Amino acid sequence: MDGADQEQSILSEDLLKHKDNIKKAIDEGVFFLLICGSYQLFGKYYKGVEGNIIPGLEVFDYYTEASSDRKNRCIGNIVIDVDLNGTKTKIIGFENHGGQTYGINTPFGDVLFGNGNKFGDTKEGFFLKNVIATYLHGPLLSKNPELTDFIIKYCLDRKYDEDISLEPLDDNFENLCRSQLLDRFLPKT
Amino acid sequence: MKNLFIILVIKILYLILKLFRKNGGNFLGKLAYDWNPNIFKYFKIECPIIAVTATNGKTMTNNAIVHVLKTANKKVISNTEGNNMETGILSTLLKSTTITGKIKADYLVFEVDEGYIPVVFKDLKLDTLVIIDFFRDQLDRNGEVEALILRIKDFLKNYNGNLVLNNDDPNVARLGKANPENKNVYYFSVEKYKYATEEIKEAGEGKFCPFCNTRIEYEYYQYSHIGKFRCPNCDYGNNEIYKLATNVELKNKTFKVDDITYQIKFSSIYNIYNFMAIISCVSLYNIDTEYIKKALSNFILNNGRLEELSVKNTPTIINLAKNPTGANVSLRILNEDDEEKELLFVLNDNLADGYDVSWIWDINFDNLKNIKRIITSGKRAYDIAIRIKTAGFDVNKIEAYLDLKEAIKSLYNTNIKKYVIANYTSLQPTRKEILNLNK
Repeated sequence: MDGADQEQSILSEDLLKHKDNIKKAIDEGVFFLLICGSYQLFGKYYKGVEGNIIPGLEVFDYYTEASSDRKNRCIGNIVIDVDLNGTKTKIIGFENHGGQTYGINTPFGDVLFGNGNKFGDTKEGFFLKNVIATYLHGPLLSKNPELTDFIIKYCLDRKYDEDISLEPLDDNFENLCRSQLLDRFLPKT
Repeated sequence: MKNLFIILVIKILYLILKLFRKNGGNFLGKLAYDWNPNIFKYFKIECPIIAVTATNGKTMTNNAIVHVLKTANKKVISNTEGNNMETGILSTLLKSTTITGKIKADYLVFEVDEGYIPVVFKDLKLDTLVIIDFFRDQLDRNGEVEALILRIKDFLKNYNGNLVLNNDDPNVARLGKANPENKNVYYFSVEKYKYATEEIKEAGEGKFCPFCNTRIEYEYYQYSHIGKFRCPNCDYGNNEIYKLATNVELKNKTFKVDDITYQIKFSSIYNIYNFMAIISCVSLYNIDTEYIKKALSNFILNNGRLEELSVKNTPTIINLAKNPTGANVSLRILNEDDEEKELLFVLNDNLADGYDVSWIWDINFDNLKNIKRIITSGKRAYDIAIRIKTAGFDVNKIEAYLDLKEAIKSLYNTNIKKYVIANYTSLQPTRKEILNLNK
């Protein structure tokens, strides 16, 4: 989930009506992938430039404040180092957010290139059990097959209550794309 | 006195640049603007100023309006080379002004970047503003479309000049109510064409009524979110139409307005909207229909905007696509063509393109018709290859080359008809490489 500004406020009002069901689903282990606007909405609140508070779902304790300068946003390519329950991988994406998110104890990854939760942050996103929240689009899943497989496997394991192994797909272009972009963005070692 | 001095200096610089056969682009305007941001006030302009803005179609519409007016023997000054921000427009004015700030012309016609309308027309009196469409475009540079529309709406609150609006774009038609006092609002529309759909086919904006937040209903979609819409709650969208295109025949490249048939050299529904903007605009100045017909029948753009070429005896169509709608329109033309074809898609992510290439996921690559092979290139050749693969196109028929030369060499190893889609900074290099094959 994420969205344009006007539509975001319509969405937010609607989402608040389902607060209890959403909390229940998270407790039951349903997988949530939250991107950008929805990442913010699942926190305590979003504080606008004029100090106005848009209430969040309060599912998690983090909160977001708009950057004081409307024109100053965290925008650009981003690479983070993540650990998907034992599988270490680099996640590539693009971030475009004015909001600065605070109060994260369990980030999604360590920033190797780009901003993260705040300007010049070392941490990006939020990751707790069955919830991944991040500012990365790019889009996230097609850029990062390992993350996609992780989510698919989690959902299948949960549904069938067993340890499923996924049949490999042709990831040739995805892998070429990743190595090209990592070469471009990360300093040569 | 200061302005006189600025203009004198600029004039001398311009002459020097001309000696070296340089055009100067935005440079002179930037120099003058940095010197005095209020310099626009200095010009004494007595003729009407027309401005064209949109996400897509500014250059074509602007240049065609100029072409129509010139065909009608009018003296026109315009930024036809596409420098459309305040500095570019200032450059155009500075080149044509007398030392005392007088500009002698029948019309000034400007293509203006959609973000710069309030800046440019703070001190210049605008006679007609033409707005064609608003789509998502380079989110990382421009922000959300909504913010852009609100800025223009603010500007229009005190504007009483002519306002020519596309009634089939809910993002544009809403601006007709920005100043309820303005009686000079003219809406144009296009009747349902052959490939219009009942469901939206390509990503669009503005799903909700800007006045009452109700979900907007469509009778049909022409392309993206352009189509006949109405708010079921407050009737927004139901405007009196000033100019309506009927009998749109893209294959024959004809359409009718007020029972007059216009022959054109373009074959996309999206161009028909540009032509309606043009016809609506020049009609406000009582330009004779014969001039309009004649001008539109021979108007072309040879700059990679739906440019048709023959390369090594292979028909080739090149089109710029800097945002999803631009690309979707190109794919529509391709899908409406029954012949076998191959596609080259070139995607860069330089500053002028926007660094964010995620817009390619809003391109509709589903159900491509009769495409034998797709080649991708540019700095993001793999990104676009993945996008196309994900839409279900056979991955074995996709070739990706970071190197443009290699891509074009491979493209022309068959003589199947070619469609080429290139984004902003990749367009001219691609066009140049392709034209090189004819040398």
